[in-house]
Amino acid sequence: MSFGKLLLCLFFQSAFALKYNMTPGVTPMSHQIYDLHMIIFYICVFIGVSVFCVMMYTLIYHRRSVGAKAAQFHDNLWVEVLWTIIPFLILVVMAIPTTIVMMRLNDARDADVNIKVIGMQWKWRYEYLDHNIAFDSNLAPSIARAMNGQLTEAEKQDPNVLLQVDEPVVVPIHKKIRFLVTSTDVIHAWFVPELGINRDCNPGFISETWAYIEKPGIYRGQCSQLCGSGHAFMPIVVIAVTQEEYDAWVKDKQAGNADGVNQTIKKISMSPDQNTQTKQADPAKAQEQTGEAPTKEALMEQGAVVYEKQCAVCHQLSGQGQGIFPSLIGSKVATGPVQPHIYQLLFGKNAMPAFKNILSYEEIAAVITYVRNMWGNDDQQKYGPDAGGVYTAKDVEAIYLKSKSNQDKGG
Amino acid sequence: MSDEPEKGLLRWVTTTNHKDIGTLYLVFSLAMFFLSGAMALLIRTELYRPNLMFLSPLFYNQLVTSHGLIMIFGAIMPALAGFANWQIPLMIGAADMAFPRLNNWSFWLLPFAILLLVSPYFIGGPAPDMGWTFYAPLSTTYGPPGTDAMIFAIHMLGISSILASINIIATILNLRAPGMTLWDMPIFVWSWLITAFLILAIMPVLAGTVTMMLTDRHFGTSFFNAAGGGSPLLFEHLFWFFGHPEVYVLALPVFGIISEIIPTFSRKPLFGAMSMIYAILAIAIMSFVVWVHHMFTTGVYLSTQLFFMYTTMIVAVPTGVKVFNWIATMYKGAITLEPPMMFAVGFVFLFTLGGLTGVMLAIVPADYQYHATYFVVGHFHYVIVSGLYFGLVAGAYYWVPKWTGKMYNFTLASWHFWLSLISSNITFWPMLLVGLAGMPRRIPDYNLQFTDFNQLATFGAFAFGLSQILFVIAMRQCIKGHQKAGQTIWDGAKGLEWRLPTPLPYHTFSEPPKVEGKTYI
Ligand code: HEC
Ligand SMILES: [Cu+2]
Repeated sequence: MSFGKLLLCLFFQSAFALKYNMTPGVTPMSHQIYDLHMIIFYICVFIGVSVFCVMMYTLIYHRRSVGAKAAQFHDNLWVEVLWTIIPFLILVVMAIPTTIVMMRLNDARDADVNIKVIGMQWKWRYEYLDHNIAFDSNLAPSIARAMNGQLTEAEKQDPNVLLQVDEPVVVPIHKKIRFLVTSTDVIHAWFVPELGINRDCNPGFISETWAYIEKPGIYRGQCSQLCGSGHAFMPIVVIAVTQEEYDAWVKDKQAGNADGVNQTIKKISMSPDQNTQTKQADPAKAQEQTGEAPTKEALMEQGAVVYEKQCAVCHQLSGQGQGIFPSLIGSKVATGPVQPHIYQLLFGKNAMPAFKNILSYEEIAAVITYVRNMWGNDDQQKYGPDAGGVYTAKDVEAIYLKSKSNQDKGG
Repeated sequence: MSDEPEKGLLRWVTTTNHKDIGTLYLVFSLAMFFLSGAMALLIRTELYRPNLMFLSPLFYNQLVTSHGLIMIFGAIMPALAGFANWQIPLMIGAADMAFPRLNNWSFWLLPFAILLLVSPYFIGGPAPDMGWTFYAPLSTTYGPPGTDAMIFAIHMLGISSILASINIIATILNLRAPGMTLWDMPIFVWSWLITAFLILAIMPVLAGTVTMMLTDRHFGTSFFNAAGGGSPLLFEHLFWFFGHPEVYVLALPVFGIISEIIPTFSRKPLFGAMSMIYAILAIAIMSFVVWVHHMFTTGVYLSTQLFFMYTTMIVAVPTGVKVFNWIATMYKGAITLEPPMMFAVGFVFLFTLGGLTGVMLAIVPADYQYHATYFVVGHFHYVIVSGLYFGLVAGAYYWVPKWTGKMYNFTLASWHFWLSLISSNITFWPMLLVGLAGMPRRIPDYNLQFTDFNQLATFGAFAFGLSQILFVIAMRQCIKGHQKAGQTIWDGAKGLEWRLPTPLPYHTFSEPPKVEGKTYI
């Protein structure tokens, strides 16, 4: 923006403020929040303007330079009582409608649709409790590239580049939707201004909030509680559709019909869609169907996709890691025996999340193969005989079953 | 006790003189103000346009954290302690603070604490990166190694402010000139007395909290870890039980400074002096029962939200009383606008703006939309920068000429005022608005629609930062300049400190003065 335009912007801040006011949103509650916001705003403007008027008046007329002589009063009981009581009364008047709205806002009973929202570093997981549907929702342009300032020029042109996800939450309009929010690691917050929802996701706790959406549309938001390096890159996209469209979406989703899901979303998205990227085709799966073991190339290819999406946020695309996230280059785990490596991916360790519910065995095998053969990790002279190797879903499954049976015995 | 200060650097290390220690505090605080201000400018530069430019998100988060912690513990609190050290003995007619050696120690803990706090930048292992509120588990299970340095730095800072507070309380209660009752004390002294008790009440809570973090991190406890039966919400409660009164620890002494300056330049006694003292007391007591207003979106019970909303609204009343009293003091006065008064009036104006946005934040449903957005960032920067910082600058322009016997250039100081006033508004007003539009705080990169106002804020921030160089020049004039300040510096100024010769001798009130009634009327 040019400097001239900036100056203009400054002088017409109030005009610009219209664009920058709170959204009235699309739910009855968000409308009421907006109304409260405007009422308290005008009250504050009124108080502020009155105070500043008196102040300007004294500054102009009670100056020594205009010949003012100082009075010597320093008390006035009535005035003091008045300006204690009047603000108090204003606040009482304000508190009444606020209390009523709060009681409504906190009443999540009798919901028609129940969705569990799980924040994790740095994506959202949605579980539809009524339909047995669950999926992850990531920043659509790769989060690893966004975090490194490596978005492409085309991506930067997109006005919503940081508010796009690969898989949006789809909800019906004119239904009470209850969101149960929680987290698996640090505190996040699920913030969608147009739904009037901003709720912390506390690990180990579930809190509930709700929305009744009046209008079909795409509503965007993002995490609002500092949750680490990827905090700016965990957007939320809620798509509200009619009941029929929602039912169709649910059906496709349950049947695992990705094309159908994309079709539904495409059809209902108002704006021709940059919204949903078609999910990557799965090279290993194709091979599995033909019955052969996947080749190393196919695994590496699929592994790269999984790695960029799931691992690079922490370990970086370059594998070098950052902060508390260790480098995978020459890492003992990634070059040593494969069993602990697989185990760590399945079950997590400290700040490293468990992937057993997030990735399939094929995907885990692919990313294991990828990490073990990238960045010179397969150099057996340097790291010993365990380095490198090609692993398949069977290896992963074996370790999973073994640890399960160990647990059963131990438990 | 010699009459003249020692020569050389050792003077500053070994000094037990309240004036020397006050100077140390003030100089240190100014240095920290510029250090942490430079961090703010790095942050604003990164936010100049969307897409990451030159900071990694990790480094950005570290800067956000250090900026907040250093501003609060390194810049503002030491500045307040500096004024306390210089002014309290002068205003109550005492020769020095009650515990001069302790006083030296409270100061010298500070630089090392801050050094420890920033050490992770130099010795590797990321510095704390979870914001100045360092919520668990981001600061425990997920905290970088530098977090431990922060924990011990906070312990040292806590000890430093507890010792300083004990000293201030002892001085005020025991060393007042004969004839001066508690009710006769100037408002600045009153405000520090109450602040010191606040510090004694909250610093141990913070120390306990960071110790619990430490044991969670290294000794296998689970205070804040839900998986082990603890609760991240417990952390938030403990933190804000400290954090909210802390806001008033920063604000109350500045209220005191303003209550000294406005009567002087209005040539009229402070309006409602008694109600001022009661208001400070009321604010201090209420500040212990409002902390959950930082946590309305955590999912606490409706009844809890209601209780804390009502208490928060009630705090606005005594705060309003203070503002009204200041304006009533000016009303029908004979006002002159020398630089201290300019900044004091600027304080009243901008602090009121900050306070009114605070009233908006108290409305819980609206807070759901404001919470953790730039609206909050704008709100507390209005209060702290355009409010408290202005108040501190006003205090410096008011008292420093008396201390040193040299006057700064009024034109320069007026430029400082107008540039600061305009640039701070260009910086923080846009923040309020992008916040309303839904931009979350603490993000290194934002979506396109927020670009124009972020650019504006960045311009403002640089203008504000650069304007503060004028302040340094003015203060240098007070120390090394040529323009002598006369015996009567401000014709409306009353109170014990103004009866002393200019510049102040190294030792004052070795003989306690005789005092009857209020000295400041
Ligand atoms: C939320 C951040 C995060 C994500 C996402 C993540 N990791 Fe990790 N990873 C960690 C952390 C933290 C550790 C260190 C754990 C420890 O030892 O305490 C780690 C450790 C590892 C190690 C062992 C390194 C060593 O030398 O100790 C490997 C191998 C690894 N991760 C692979 C992966 C792969 C493959 C993925 C993607 C499927 C992945 N990680 C995703 C955070 C993450
Ligand atoms: Cu988050």
